[in-house]
Order: sequence, then C-alpha cells, then structure tokens
Amino acid sequence: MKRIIGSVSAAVFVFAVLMLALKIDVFFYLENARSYARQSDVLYNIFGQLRNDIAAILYLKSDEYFHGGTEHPHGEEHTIADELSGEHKHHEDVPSQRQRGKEEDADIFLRLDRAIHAHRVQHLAPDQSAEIVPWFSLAVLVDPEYVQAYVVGGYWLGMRLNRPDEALLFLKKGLKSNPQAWQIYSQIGDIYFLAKKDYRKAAAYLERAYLAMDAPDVNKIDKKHVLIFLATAWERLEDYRKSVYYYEKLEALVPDPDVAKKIAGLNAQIKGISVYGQE
Amino acid sequence: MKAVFLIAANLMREIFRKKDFYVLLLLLLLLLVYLLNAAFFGIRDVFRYMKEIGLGLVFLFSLLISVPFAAKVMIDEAASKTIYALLAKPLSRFQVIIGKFLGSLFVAWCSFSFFFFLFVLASVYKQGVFTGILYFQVYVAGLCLLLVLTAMTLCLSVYCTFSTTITLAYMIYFLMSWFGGGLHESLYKIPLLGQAVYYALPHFEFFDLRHRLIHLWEPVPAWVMLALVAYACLYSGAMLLCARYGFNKRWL
Amino acid sequence: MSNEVLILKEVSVTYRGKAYSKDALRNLSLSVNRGEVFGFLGPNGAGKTTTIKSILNLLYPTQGSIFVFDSPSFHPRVRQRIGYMPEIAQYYWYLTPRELMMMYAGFFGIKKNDALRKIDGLCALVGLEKEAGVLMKNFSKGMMQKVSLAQALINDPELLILDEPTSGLDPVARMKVRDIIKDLKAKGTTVFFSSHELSEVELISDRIGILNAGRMVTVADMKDILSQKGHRQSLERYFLDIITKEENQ
Repeated sequence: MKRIIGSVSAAVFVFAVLMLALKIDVFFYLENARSYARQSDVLYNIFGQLRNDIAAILYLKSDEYFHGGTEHPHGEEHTIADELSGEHKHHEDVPSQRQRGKEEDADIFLRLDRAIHAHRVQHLAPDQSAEIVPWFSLAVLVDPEYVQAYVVGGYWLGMRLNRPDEALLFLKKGLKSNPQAWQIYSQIGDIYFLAKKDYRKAAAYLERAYLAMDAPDVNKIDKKHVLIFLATAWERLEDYRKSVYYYEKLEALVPDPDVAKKIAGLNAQIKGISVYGQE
Repeated sequence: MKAVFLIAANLMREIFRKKDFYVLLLLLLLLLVYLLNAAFFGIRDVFRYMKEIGLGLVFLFSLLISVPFAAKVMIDEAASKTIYALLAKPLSRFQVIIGKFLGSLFVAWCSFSFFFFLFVLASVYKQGVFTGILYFQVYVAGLCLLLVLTAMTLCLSVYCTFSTTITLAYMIYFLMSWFGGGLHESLYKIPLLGQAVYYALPHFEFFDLRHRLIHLWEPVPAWVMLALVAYACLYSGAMLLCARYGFNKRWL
Repeated sequence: MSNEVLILKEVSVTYRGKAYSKDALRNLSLSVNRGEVFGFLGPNGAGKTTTIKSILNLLYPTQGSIFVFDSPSFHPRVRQRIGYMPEIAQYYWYLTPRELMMMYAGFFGIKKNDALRKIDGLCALVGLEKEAGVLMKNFSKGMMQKVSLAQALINDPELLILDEPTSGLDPVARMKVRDIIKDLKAKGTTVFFSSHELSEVELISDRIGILNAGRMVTVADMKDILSQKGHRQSLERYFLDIITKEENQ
C-alpha cells in the first residue's frame, strides 16, 4: 500500500512539475527579455540559445511532417518557410536524403540503413495537413520569440486549413511577445484580406507592418507583398487616394508598367469622383 | 543454465520491489492521457504528433530504467561484496555475467513492454486504426535495441565506474541514434581504421523504426527484421565476451 | 582420497597498483585435515582474507598452487562441497533470507521441497525464524551475520570457510555460533575460520596457524600450545609472544 501511494504521489508530482515548469520558465524568460538581461547575463544567453535550438528542432518537425516524415535537401532557391508556404510539387517523389548514392557502393550496413530510413518524399494530402500544426504550437511554447513559427503556423491555419479565427488568435498571441515583428502584422493582414475579406482590418495591420519594415534586412519582395495588399485593400474600401499613395510607393520600389497603369486608372477615378462631387 | 536463470529471476525481483518502475509507468499514463486530450487550435483529429511524442516517451522511459539498472548490477555486486558469497557457489564468472545480463535484459524488456502496451492502447484509441504489423516491427526493433544497449552497458560497467558507464552508454546511444546515419559518408572513406570504427560502433539508428509507424510508411521487408535480430544478437554476444574477458581478469 | 582437504603450496599473492606493489602473501604453505577445526590467526593486514579469497578463486595467486579435495581450486565444481561465510555480511536488500537461500540452493542443484525444509531448519538454527520472509533492507548487522552463516550451510558443506564468523554478534549469538561449529565438527565437517576473538578460537580449534605479514609463522596443535610447561598458557599470550618475536627479528 505504501509503495502504491508513494509511486502515485511521485508520478503526479513529476507530472505537475513538468506541466508548470515550462510556463514558469517562459514567464521569467520574457521578463528578462524585456529588461534586456540577454545582453549581460551569461547563463541567460546560454539557456536562451538552447531554447532557440530546441524550438528550431520542433519547427523543423513541421517541415519533416509536410514531406511525409522524410529528410530531404532544400534547394538554395528557397527556405523551409517557402517550402511550407508554397506549392513545391517538384520535390515530390524524389529520393530522400538517405536514399542518395549509388546502390553498388553500399555495404550491408548502408543497405540496412536505407531499407529502414529512406523513403520517397511525399507531401501530405490536404486532409492530413493538420498534422503539422502541433509543431508550430510547441515551437512557440518553448520560444515565444520565434517569429517564423508564428507566421508559418498562422499561414497554415488561416489559408490551408480554413481556420482564420484560430490563425488570428495564434498570430495575435505572437504579437504580445514580438510587438515589433512586421512579419506577424503582415500575415495577420493577409488573413483578414484573403480569408475574412475584412479589408479595413487588413489595411490597419498591413500599415503597421509597413511602418515596422524600416530595418535594412527587410528585402524588396517582402515590402512589395505588403504594399500590393495594402494598396488593394484601400482600393476595395474605395479610398482611392490612399490606394494611389501605396501604389506609388510600390512603383518607386519596383517599377512596373502594370502598376503605373493602375495608378493612372485610380487617379482618373479620383478625378471622376471629384467632378461628380463638385457637381 | 539453471544457475543463470536463477540469477536473472532474482534480479527481476529488484525492479518490481522498487518504486522507479511504477513512477515511470504512472507518469507515462498521465502524459499519454494529457496528449490524448490535447487539441491544437480546436483540431482534434491529429495523430502523428501524439504517436511521435508517445513513442519518444516510451523509449526514453525504457532507457531511464534499463541503462542505470544494467550499469549497476555488476558494480553494486562488487561494491557491496555480495559477489563473494555468489562466487563461492559452484558458478563460473561467465555464468554470473550471463545471469546478470539476462536479468537486466528481462527488466528492460518488461518495462518496455508495459510502456509500449500503454502507448498502443492510447494510439489505437486516438486514431481508431490498428496497423498491427507496424506496431509489431517497432516493438521487435525496440527489444533488439535494448538487447544491444544492455549488453554494451554491462560490458562498460566491468571496466568503468558507475557514473562513467551511464554517461558513456547514454552518449553512445544518443550520438549514434542522431548521427549514425551520416557516419558512412565520413568514416567509411578512411581505409581500415575508419571502416573498423564504423563497424565496431553500435548502430542504434538501425533499431529506430518509429517514423514508419508515425507516418504510416509501409512495413520493412522480412529480411530487414531478420538482419536486425541477427545484428543485435551478434553485437550483444561480442559485448558479453568482452565483459567476460574483463571480469575474468579482475581481482575481487 | 587424501586426508588433507585443503592444501596451499608456496602460494604468493602480490597486489600491484599504479605506483605500488605489495606482497600480501609470501610462499604460504598450509594444509587442513579432514574433520578438523583450523583457526587461522594474524594481526590486521597479515593476509588472512587474501588467503581465503585465493582459496575461493576470488583472486589469483601470483605463484604457487591451491588444491581443495585434491582438485585445483579454480574449478567451479570444487565449490559444490564448500560453504563460505564472508567477512562482510551484505546481501541483496530486495530479497528475503528465504528467497536468497532458495537461489543459493538452486545453484547446488537442491530440489525445491528439500531446499524449503533445509531453509526452515537453518533459520531456526541461527535464530531467524520470524525474519525468514522479511526483506533484508532493514536488517541489522547481527541479523545479516546470521543470514550469512545460514547461507553458508545450505549445501551441507564438507569444508566450511568462515571469515570472522562472530564479528558483530552479541555474546549469546557468539555462543550459538561456537555450538554450531562444534556440532559440525561432530558430523565430520572440516572448518577453516579466521578470527580476532582468540578466546573463542581457543575453545573450538584443533589446530591454529598464525600468519604475519603474508608469511605463515607457525602452525600448532591447540593442545600442545595450552599444555606448555611453566606457564598458565593461553592462546592470546602465545599469539602475542609469536608476533612480538617476529617483529623484533
């Protein structure tokens, strides 16, 4: 009897500690982040980096799951985020990393390894896509400052799994820990635009994304993406002046005859409205 | 032979009279129940993460029991001087090694079987599908893994202290599981020495069939399972011979 | 079949470490006759336990040979007829005395029912009837000593080797052990034991051997020692005389 009570107590205690430990740890981690402890505290830096590494491993799981459980090499032309965000049918049905190499060079150990671990790469079927979602949640649980996990997770929830409300909740939670993350604002804006068709809210978030995009590491493609959606959102809201404003910024960034035509068209509409307004 | 089984059977009494096994079993049960009920963003019909985490816990808890147990059987015997009364009986030292090995192995297998059974129940309940052959293959591979790990740990314990044995055993296991697959490219190209090291290292990555169960790949062919069992038996045999050599030379 | 149950011929044991080498036994020769009680004496560090370990093949003589029942001591089958009580009585905390002795009985090929009867008898003999089914994790030193003696007798040994058999026992228990040794002698069992309790050795031994610094200094009959003229001789006085002489040389 004593052994049973002792065992049950010990198991429940360890379980409770496990459940609480990460939450308490994350709380203090964010508190330290806000007080800029990372710059001076060695231990904080070490464990912070460990946290980042574990979160990265969990995030990479989503990529592994997306490719049916195989490791496969990513081309230089795109990142894992691109993999998870786009259609990459050309990767399907190719040998996985472990399958590569000549069969005649393989000794018995290598043949065994390939027979066990190698598998053709296969993307998850649409009805199985939800399988990758838990890993985003776990990655941000460990590292609440993992912006990419929020963004890609939000994309999958909002665009692929048709759960925009859950996506927005997830992304807004990410904003609490990362208030300057333009990527999260941008993704929220995309979801409001594409999934919810709420152009006013989309515009609000996309503007905040654009304002946060001052950093030099922000590339033109990302800015272009935000500007296109912003301009289109205002266009749909029939606020053509604001739409033109952002189209002009887009034209300045990446000159495009189609954009120039669009600006001209919108300006004409503005004048037309003005004429009608005067009348 | 009877003496060997007597030693093994009495050793098994230890694991069931200690709390560790029951604590881990209950902890696994609690964690599996938690995983079963977890819903991410309101999505309930996701199974793979639960299988991955569940299986990971099964293997982790089995390691937590089997490695320290195998590490301490010979060391404790010598440190507490119980070895004197044991070797004063009509037993050879090799019989003692085999008996301790079998006892440790049965402890590892029993623990693993209990944990795996719990996992299968949880997994089948969640998914509603029982892919029998895959479960069976993962289970057999797990038994083979524990066979090699127990033998290796016992061999190390004959030559090293308890803490060194545990550290080395875990290090070798985790390093080979994570990086063993890439060793062929690096080590194999170094003639003789590299190849010798490559073949001498215990390839624990061979026994990791979990991803096949998680992602519902097709089962491995029969020759692979036979090769795994053969490899496990041969490697364990080699480890036990090493242990015998070291133990025979030891002054007690 | 010779009358000598245990023969050590020119046995030397050298412990070698990284920076030292110690001769624990130096050309030790000794024989023990069938049915006698042989007391093996010596100061601390003389090599008594080393001698016993060599006989049981727990360590290997650097030189010399050891025969038990006319067979080399390293054969496991030789130990079929030996009972051994170690100096430090430690057994498995997760077993009861009954389970421990059942396991040991199994090693000797004793059948289950016979073993159970024997175990009950032995537990009664050493005073462990109530504790036979209790886990040994909470046993005191004295109780462990009793378990140790009982397990040494499980196979009705022809040669019983006892290393400090009365260490840690109260006077009543010590008397019990002496009585057990006397009974065994009456049955024809050869007893080879080491002890620091010279008064007890004096009471039960037929012959004694005194070891000092790895060398056998003397082997003598107990009757001869005690009947030396001109003294009210005791084993203790004899022992001290011998050792003092050795140290002065």
